[in-house]
Amino acid sequence: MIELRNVSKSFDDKKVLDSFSAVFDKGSYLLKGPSGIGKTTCIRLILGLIDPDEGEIQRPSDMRFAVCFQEDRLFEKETVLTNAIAVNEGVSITDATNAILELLPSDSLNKKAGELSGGMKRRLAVIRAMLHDSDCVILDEPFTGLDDEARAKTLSFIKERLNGRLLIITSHDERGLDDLAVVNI
Amino acid sequence: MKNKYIRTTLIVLIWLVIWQVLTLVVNNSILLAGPVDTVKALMELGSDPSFYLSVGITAGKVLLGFLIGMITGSVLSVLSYRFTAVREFFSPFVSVIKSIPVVSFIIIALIWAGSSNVTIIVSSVISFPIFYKNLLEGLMVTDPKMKELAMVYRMKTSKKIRYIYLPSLSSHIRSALSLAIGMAFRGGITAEVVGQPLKSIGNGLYRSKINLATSEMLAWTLVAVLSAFIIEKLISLIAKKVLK
Repeated sequence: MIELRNVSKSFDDKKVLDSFSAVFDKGSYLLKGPSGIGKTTCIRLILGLIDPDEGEIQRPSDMRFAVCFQEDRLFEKETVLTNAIAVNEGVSITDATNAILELLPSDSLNKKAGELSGGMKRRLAVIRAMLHDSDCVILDEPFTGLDDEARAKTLSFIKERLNGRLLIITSHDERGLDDLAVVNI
Repeated sequence: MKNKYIRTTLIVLIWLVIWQVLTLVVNNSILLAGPVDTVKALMELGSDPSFYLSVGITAGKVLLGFLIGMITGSVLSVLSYRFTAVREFFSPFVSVIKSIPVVSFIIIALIWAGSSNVTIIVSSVISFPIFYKNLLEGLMVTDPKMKELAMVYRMKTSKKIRYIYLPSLSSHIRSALSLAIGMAFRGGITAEVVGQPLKSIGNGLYRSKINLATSEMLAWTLVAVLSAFIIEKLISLIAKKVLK
């Protein structure tokens, strides 16, 4: 369980989060709010990448996260396959290949990540996160740059590979996410 | 590509002709020896087995000094990146080393370690700050977003080096390698001219000067330039393979 209690965070005197509270227990959550409201800041606070100015964040100290950041953050000079396994120690090449082939064409396996289109990079970032052995999956705008068909495939890929893990998604587009609990910022 | 080679060869030939014409104009082999005389002197030097020994010893010593400078510079740059106190401690030291004239180092090295080790010491002292500064700069500009990714995914150190730090450092490492090997050669040979260790390129240059054998001096210079060029190319090739 992750709990944020009266959390505030400012950047350059601009308050991004003001006394925000939320509880993420088992299940799937849609972190919702207009652009610039502080969704990404909230995610960074949960991950422990930044500290709150005020308030408290509680999460198990040994909690393992898998993240698809707002930017793809891929190893651009490495192949698609290498990107999928580089951060996933226990994942076999066969499992990684199967996961990749669910969302990307077969000829992309040995392509360098830097050669992929924006939408393909996004899908690879999602694949990498879903393959990771973790307790909580956080996907920050995972459908950016995807057309309707790719979006639907990516969404069902996420749901199929969740395996009971805690999921937190931020997305402007709520289609297909009705079954997620909504947390408004 | 083929045109480029023809062009380069032509340019080199033109410069050789200019050199030869100047030699004919000056008409004094002590003031200026021409390319023909230089090649003759080089062939003469090449007929003596001790010439190859001198070149090998100098190249080996410069390379050893270069490696010592590379390793210490790299290790200290990583420590400086990791610990601010180490960076603050070494910052003035590296700045001082960079601004001290090479000849001062040569004299100090001669007093402390004698002429036989002067080449190694000077080459390493010249290479050290180049690696330190370049690598530290590369480490400091490594994408913080990728470092966050490594932290969240709990990447092993070896994987962080392989996938995050080496790609970020590769251009800095390459420029340090190329700059340091050239400067180590120049500094090392200067040290030999001053220190006079037996069986060395610097000693050969010095003896040519004493004998007023300009063509032989130019032949030794040519050997020094070629040795540095070949070693630099070899190192670049290895770096290209390792850094991809």
